[in-house]
Amino acid sequence: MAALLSGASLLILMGFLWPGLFSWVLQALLVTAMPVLLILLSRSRSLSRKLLIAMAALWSLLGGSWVALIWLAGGGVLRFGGIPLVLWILVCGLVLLPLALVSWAYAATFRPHARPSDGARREALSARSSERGSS
Amino acid sequence: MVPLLEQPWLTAATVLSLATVLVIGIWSGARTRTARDFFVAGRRVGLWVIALATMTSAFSGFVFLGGPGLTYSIGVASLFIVVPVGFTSGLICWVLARRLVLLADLDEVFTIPDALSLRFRSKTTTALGSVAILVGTVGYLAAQLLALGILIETILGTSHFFGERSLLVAMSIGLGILVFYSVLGGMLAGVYTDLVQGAVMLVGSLLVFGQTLKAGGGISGMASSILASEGMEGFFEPFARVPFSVALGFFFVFGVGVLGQPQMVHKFLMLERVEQLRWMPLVLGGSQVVCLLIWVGIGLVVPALVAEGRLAPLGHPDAATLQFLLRFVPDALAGVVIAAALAAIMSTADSFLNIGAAVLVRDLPRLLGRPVRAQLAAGRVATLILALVAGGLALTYGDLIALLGTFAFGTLAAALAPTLAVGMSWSRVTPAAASASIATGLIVNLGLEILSRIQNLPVAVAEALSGFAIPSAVALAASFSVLSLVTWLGRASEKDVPEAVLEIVES
Repeated sequence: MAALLSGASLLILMGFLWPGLFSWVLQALLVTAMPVLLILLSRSRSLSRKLLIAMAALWSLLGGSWVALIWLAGGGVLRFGGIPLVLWILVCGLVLLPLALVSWAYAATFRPHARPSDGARREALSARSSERGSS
Repeated sequence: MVPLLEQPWLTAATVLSLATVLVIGIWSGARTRTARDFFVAGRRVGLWVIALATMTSAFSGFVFLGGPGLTYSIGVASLFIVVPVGFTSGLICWVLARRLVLLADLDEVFTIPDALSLRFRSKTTTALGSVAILVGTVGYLAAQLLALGILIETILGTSHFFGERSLLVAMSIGLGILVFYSVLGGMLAGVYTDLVQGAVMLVGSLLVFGQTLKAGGGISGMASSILASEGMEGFFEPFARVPFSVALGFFFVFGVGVLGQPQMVHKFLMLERVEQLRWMPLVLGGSQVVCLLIWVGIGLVVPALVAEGRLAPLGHPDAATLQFLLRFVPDALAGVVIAAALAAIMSTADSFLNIGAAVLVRDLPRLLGRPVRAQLAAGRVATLILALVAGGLALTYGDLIALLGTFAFGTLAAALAPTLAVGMSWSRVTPAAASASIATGLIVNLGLEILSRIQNLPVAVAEALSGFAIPSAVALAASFSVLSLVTWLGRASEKDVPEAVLEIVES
């Protein structure tokens, strides 16, 4: 996961430095992958199938919404129910559906870590004291 | 300028709002007895308070005043700044919140530099993190104080009475109230005023959104008016008024950069129990979405009203909210929104006052080997000094400070997000990698921002800069890249990090 994140960071940097280097779709997919990769890295030692599916869905939503916006760009304003399609995508595809998804996925995969033991606290305090002492 | 206070409801709402924070300041002052109370609200705070305090700290007055004006100027492309709220609450909770709560359980972790120190055991990393926070704090704080002064000046009409000293008087009133509750009650006052302020912001946003729908004939009515107007071309085209790379840069910086905002992530150090995080993404994200209704509503209705000829074109885009409130909203509701805007500014400012004071009396002295013993008293004094310095800077260098405020978010994002996000999740990240990443974020962001504002640059440099996305997006991506490269190239060194800390990082 860390390797994927590192690669994505470098490619995103290159895309921002040289805007014509990659296609808009590729740049959007890379940027929308960043939050997903960060979440997966943060749980890489305890990845569950549920979280993997949720993150795949999140990337699909974010990346798909950006691809749709790129596809619509410059083609005039299409409307659905009187409301511009772009607004539907911004509000539903990038805000409401991702929020519902991450809220559910976080609660469903939440596992509180055991509180640190007294021994662990003592170890941390002693490490901190030695740092202060050496200062 | 006619004082808005000539309307009694606005007077009542403003006075009530300011009086409420004063009462909370007195209440929390009596309960603030230790540095732990002052800097992390005694770690006795629950889900709802933390969620609303995080929301209010994240949303400054920009959401109420600047945001709708930006939508008026650049159309729906402005929304790329706010649409990341769909996932940011989850991102913060997964990547940082749980680990910060657990680190605070383990040791005396009152600040983000405390957390960096515990994780990396490196004075360089902690010092660079502290400097980044201080730079961001001064910019953010002074910009908030300037906005507070301008809003109070508009409400009270102080220019009628004080002429050229009007802004000074208005800012002094706001600063006096802010300093009163921040000095007395520290973060305890901060989070409970944030709770009340957050509630006012939510109610104000919801009610005003209803008014925008009524005035504009629903979203479809507003869209029809805008689309029929010759002066509003490209409003609904996402990449017509700003280049694609800028829109994507907004999304990247405001989506991933939240992980480096101390005013937000610091709140998790105050949570009483880690179990309270389970529903945090829903409560935090939900409250953010409701609060942003005001941005979207006014951002759409004002161009629609201008297109229909019911409102004159705005002289300055930032006038969008006030124009709408004064002409299309009942006085009582306008009062609630003015109170909400004041609340948004003050809640962001009080967070930065506390964070900045902590850097001055806790983080930097410890790094210099001279820890302050009486941190509560010193924290109160530092809060006062910081407020006065930031207020003085805002008055003296108003334009510069407004500029600093605009890129403070990007500076904090580029300097701190990679180290906090990746460093807290990946045990291989070394202190050298963290330090290099923080330095890169700071230098690249400040350097590019300054370069992009210098006139008469050599043509080749100017052309190269104009091709970039927004500077903070480049700086954030560079900071992530440097962190990764130095980590991969360096040798993992975990020998000084306590086992319990590594266990939290790897959990």
